[in-house]
This record gives sequence, C-alpha cells and structure tokens, in this order.
Amino acid sequence: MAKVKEHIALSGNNQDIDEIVAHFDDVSNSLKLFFSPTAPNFRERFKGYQSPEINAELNLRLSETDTASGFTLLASLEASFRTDYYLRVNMKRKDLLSQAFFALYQSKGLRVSLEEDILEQWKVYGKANNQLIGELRGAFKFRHWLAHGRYWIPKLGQKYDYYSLYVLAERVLTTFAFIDDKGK
Amino acid sequence: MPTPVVCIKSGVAMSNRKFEQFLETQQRLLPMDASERRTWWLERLEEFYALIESFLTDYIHSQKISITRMKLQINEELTGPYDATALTVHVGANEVNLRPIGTYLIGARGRVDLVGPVGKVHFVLVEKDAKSPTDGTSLSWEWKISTRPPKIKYFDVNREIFLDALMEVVNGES
Repeated sequence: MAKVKEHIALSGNNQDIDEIVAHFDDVSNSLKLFFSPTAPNFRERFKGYQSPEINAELNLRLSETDTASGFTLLASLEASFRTDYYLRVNMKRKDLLSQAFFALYQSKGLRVSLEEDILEQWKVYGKANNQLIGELRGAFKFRHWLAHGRYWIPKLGQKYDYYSLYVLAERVLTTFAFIDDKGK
Repeated sequence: MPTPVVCIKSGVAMSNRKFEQFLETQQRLLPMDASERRTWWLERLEEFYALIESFLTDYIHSQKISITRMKLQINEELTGPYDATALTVHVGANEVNLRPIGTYLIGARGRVDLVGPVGKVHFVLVEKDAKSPTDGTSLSWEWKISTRPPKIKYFDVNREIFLDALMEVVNGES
C-alpha cells in the first residue's frame, strides 16, 4: 500500500471563527471610539474636518475591516478543509471520503486544489449539499480577487461581506464533518 | 368526478387535494429565472418597507421622524444592474439608511441593512421557520432580524424589535 511521503507540521495557528468574530468586533468598536469626540486625540487627529468627512472616513475604515475579516474567515475555512484532507490521508480511515482523498493524494500529493479537488471529493463522497459547495466556490472566487489585489472588476454573482461570509462559515462548519487531529 | 389517485407503495387511494398540494410544492421548487427572481425580490422589498413604515406611522404623523426614498443601483451577476429603493429615516439630526443588498446571497433570498452613525443591523429574507442560518425547510420566505455573529439567530420582525434596532444604530444601545 502506498505510504504518505509528504508531511507538514500543522501549526495550530489557524484561527477559529469565534476568534475572528472577536477580533472584528474589537477592531470595529475601537475604530468607532477613535473617530468619536471622546477619543483622547480626536481634536488633533481631525483638526479641520467637518462631521460628514469624519463619518465618511470612519465608514471607509469599517468597510476595510469588514472586507479583511471576510477574507480571514475564508482563509480559516480553507485551513479546515486542507487540515481535514491531510489528516484523513494520514489516518487512512476506511470511509469513502478518506479513501478518495488517499487516491487523490497518490496522484497529487499535498498540492491539491481546494475548489477542483477537495470540494469535488466532498461533493461525491462526503454527501455535502451541492448548493453549499457552489456557494463555497463562489466565495473563494471573491477570496482570490482580494488576495490578488482587487485590480479587476470581478464577476462574483453576489455580494460578499463579513456578515454573509460568516453565515457561510457557520453553515459549512455545521454541515461538513471535518476531523481534527484527534481523529474525531 | 375526478378519478382518485392511488399511492403505488401502499395501494391506498390518496385524495386529489393531497396530490394537488404535491404538484404546487413541485412548482414552487422550480428555480425562478433571474428576471422573475429580481421582480419577486423587489416586491418583497416593498412589503418590508410597508411593514417598517407601519411601525413608524405615529412618529411620522407627529413629525418626529420622516422618511425619504431614493433609488440605489444594485448589480448582481445573474440579473445585471437594476434599481432598488433605499429608505432614509431622519431621526433628529441623524440619518439612518435602509439599504437593500440584493437577492443572490448566501443562505438568504434578500437582505436589507439598517445603517446608522454607530452601527448596522441586518434584516434577512429567509425560510419562514428558520431560527438560524443552519436550519429552515419552509418553502415560504419571511423577513427576520438577524443577530450579529457569532452564532447568528433570527427573530421575527415586529415594531418593538425594529425600534430597538433603530436606537442601536443611532446610539449604540437599545
């Protein structure tokens, strides 16, 4: 039987979605405070500003925080899928999905595409909801657009933001039976 | 008199009414094309605004609140660009916007964000029986207010909940 030749050291640094939410809330609240007259350096920072200009600048910062947190949520989802792939291959479990991953590993090793390889196997062997797989693929197009600098007009099909990506993450983590490093 | 339909599995006659309900369900499950979907969503949006305006009627009459409408362009890949109505609620010196987001969304058939100076609240068009993004099996859709992450919950929209949301996005507290 073929052996797993490649090993990666799992860092344990991948964030779970609760940590991302806590970070998003803290940064958003900090920004609102920083842009309010109660901030210690408000007068110095916003000298010469009119109130609508302050609000506009705050909204820009909040919007960027929203986008960055959405990106992090997607990165966290990718980590869940790839960790699960790696663990299933290593543990040589007998379920159909694990066997399909092992066959995939034998041809591609760890350099598998999330969208084309991992999600496809989940679709066939993991009994995952096709609509949810489609939503994930769409969201990863958005992630790709962000990761490559947003310099083109993307064809995304729908609006993605922190809220909608959190909804996606919650649905994925509830629906997909990921295994962890304890084999659960 | 219509011929009764017989269930193949049990051999028991099923009422025509039950079969008609089955056909209606199958019809509703047919995907709408993008144009139908846009029309359907814009109708639901108007229903939502009518509901919100009904909550504020007393305050509008006493001139403590006013509402203005404006057109906002939404661009979704399947529908292309189209105009949707956005509302601005004027509360004292503050403006609060009800901003339609679109109909092709993860886990919802529509969303409107209530955006005020210090916060944002999401209203979503989801399955009538949905209590969170991970459940809901109904074929009919209803506007709900969504809590913020983590562990999102949906609640029915009523006057008290909407007024709380309005205060929250203006003052940061409800």
